[in-house]
Amino acid sequence: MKRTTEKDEQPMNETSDTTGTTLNEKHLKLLYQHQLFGDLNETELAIVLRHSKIFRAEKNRTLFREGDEGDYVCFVLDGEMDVMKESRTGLSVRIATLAEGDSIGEMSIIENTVRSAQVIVREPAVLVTLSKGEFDLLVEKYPVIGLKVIRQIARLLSRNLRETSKQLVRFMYPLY
Amino acid sequence: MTEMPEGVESVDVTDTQARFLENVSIFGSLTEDELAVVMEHIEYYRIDAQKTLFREGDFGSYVCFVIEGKVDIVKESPSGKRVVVATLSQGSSLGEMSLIDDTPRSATILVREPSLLCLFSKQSFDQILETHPKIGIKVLKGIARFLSGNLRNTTTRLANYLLPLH
Repeated sequence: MKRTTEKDEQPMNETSDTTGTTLNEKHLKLLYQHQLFGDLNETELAIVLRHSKIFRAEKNRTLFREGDEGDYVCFVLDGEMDVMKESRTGLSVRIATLAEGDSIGEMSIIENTVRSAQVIVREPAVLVTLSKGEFDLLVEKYPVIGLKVIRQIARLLSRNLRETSKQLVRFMYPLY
Repeated sequence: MTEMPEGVESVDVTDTQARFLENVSIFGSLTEDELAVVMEHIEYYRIDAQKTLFREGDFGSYVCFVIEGKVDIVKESPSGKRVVVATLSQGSSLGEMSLIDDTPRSATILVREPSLLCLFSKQSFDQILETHPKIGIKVLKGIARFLSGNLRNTTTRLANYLLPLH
């Protein structure tokens, strides 16, 4: 992403967190390269960021719990997050770790969802969130940007579905 | 007009049959006027039993809805065996993914009972995205919801095979 470095210290937008967290060159690059924003140019991404929130999260902080109502997507730009799920025995097990460039809860900006796992900060993190409410406003004002982001979400789901179906077939009984 | 294999015949449908689209999930949030725009692009076909609509690996250029009849979704397993992963009847859809990406068909469609199908091509959808972005967004959201639900079901089925039963 082409940006001048002297702008690094400036807040991205007026909705950024009161702690004054800003996005640096690396953060912007991670967002620009993220699949969800794969069809957006820099101007369009800047508009998306005006509707987003940036914040720092301390170690061991829980972002959300399994069963919580989900109404935002979260991008990890620094640090690490553990995705935890309760096993049958009642113990909490780690099913994944999210690193910089990863995201979670993409579907939550399309419809209200229920979180299927708990997310805990493993290493101090810089996060960007985009809520369903803000995304709806964005879609209203900039339908073409909305369309490009939703199409990428659908593509992401499509790819995951193809992968999962492929795995499932290995376990199924033959027809002939 | 979409190019179709042998044994597939283009047909006209009654208004009642056309109203079928109102109940298609990916068009669920469209208003009557918006649905009318989509309907102008819909193609209808009859297909005989035992025919193959398309094969796994084919280039996919349309989503298809079953208005009448039954079709099997068949996939080849790594060992080369063919398995029916699902049977679709009235109201079901297949090939949603081809509206949004250019990847090949992920399964073969074998017609089990003579069927009446309707098609919505990627070309039509791209045109609607250009001319009516708001309709496009609603349909894309519908596709995302559909895929998300489908993914959840598939993951659950897979988990059932993976987890020990005790």
